[in-house]
Amino acid sequence: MMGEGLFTGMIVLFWVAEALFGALVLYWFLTQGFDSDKDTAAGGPVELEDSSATIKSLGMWAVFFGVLVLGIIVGA
Amino acid sequence: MIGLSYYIFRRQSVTDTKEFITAGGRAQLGLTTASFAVTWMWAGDILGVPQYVGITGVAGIWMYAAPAVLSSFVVIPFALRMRELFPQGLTYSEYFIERFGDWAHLVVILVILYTMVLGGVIQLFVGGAVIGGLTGIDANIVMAVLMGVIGIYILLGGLWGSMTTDFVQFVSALALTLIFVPLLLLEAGGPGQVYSQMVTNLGEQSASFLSMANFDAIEGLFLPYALGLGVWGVVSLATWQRVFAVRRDKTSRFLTIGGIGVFTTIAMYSVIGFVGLASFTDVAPGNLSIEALGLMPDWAAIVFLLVALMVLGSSVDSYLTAIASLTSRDIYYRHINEDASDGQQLRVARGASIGFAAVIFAGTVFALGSISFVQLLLIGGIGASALVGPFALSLFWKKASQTGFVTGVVVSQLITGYLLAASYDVVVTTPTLKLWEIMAIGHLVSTGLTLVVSGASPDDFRFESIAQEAPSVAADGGVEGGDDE
Repeated sequence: MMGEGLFTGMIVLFWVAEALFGALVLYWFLTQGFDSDKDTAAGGPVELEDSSATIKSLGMWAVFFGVLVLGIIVGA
Repeated sequence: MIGLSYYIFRRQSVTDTKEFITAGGRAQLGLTTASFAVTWMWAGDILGVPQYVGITGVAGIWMYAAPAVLSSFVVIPFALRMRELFPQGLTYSEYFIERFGDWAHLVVILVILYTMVLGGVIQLFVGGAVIGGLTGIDANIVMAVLMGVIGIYILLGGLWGSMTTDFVQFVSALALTLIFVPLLLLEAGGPGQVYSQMVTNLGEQSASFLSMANFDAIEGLFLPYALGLGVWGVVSLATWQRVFAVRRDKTSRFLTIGGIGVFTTIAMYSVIGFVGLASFTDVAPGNLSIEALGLMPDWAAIVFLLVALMVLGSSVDSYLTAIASLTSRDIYYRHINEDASDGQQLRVARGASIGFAAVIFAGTVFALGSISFVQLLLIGGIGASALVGPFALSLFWKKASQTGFVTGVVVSQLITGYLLAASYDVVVTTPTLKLWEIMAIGHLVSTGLTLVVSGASPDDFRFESIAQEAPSVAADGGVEGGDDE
């Protein structure tokens, strides 16, 4: 059973994570806009991502699931 | 929303089917991530997460959120493979025509169609229950107004309109979780007060309700969600529209950030459930959300409702644009009028948006009086159990054949349909299985039959025969040259 401190910390952690997520997406939108530049629009879709980009994404998922399991163990 | 959608209609020149359905395949990361995230952080969470918390405590957070974000993870290999084969593809269901033929395509679009309609019903259910419940306005009137407004702005902007209004709705969802949920928490006395009040109210149950490792409800809540909606992203047309809309070099990035971000949003909605558990001792889990939200000051409740309306609209409009794409391209163009002009397809897409808005409305009116929200939510993922395995085999196994694929999907849906009817005593009464068992059987049957039948009657498919012409624009956006993948 989690204590009061852990319960409060969990809610604060969720709030901070949500704020960071929102800030990142807003930053992307403000700096990139709606669509790619005119050359891209005229010429067709860009190249598919390379394997390093995919590995980086999978790494983020691994960290996420690791933190989730850790949270379940710590909050047991 | 209607005004914004009209602006997008003019700005992005939404005058042909490709712009209407795929946003031209060049949408940027921020817009697509917001659109994807808000499509998945649906208004259903406002009811669903507190209900999970009311049933099983803090463990309800991950039991609800982990399967919900699993979709984003599972869909990555599918998305990369599809974008490799179809860099300029319009709808992913067209793939089944190229890969197998008309029968497989027909089976897929029928499963997707009812799945997407169910998704729309789930969303509108929330609108009727939450907004009607808090305001006292008749739920049917709330739902009719919602469908009217959403239908109009979809008519104008198509996917560009949907994604742009999604962005506004994404900001609205942030306001809900970052401002209104903490406000509710403070109204209840703050986290410390909520914690101690929960311990008092829950009594002996507090040890299990305040443990993240409380696995008591794993069969009822986690497993059916993970086996159904948890892989729904692979089946959802709304997901595929966004996969084909984003720049190809950002495919896994937007799925990763969008998916993980959805977890944090869902986690914040759990606070509504904690406040409910701390404030009430005799409220059913299904009513916890509405009772807890009623603790907010009147002005905050009104603003909350307005923002919730926008979040709800984001999901329903996604389903409507997906269904419009399905009707226009996959049914009308592919099976009814292959000579249809772009203008004709666009008219059909817009007509379908309105027609299915009415179908979703009628379905929700029926569901609101006959089934609980969590039951509806979990059953909504049943279609995924028939498609995910066969779809994976078709993408990565050249011997997967149309006979095997169609057999796997159809038999799986018939069996799960029968088992579901038996479990709810509709016409038949035996056997009675748990929902997660029915979904597991659906996955096993669809994947197993596709494997066995394809093994007995194998195809020898050459994937390069359906791959589209390589694109001519490099990832930096300006360099001419092919893609050698």
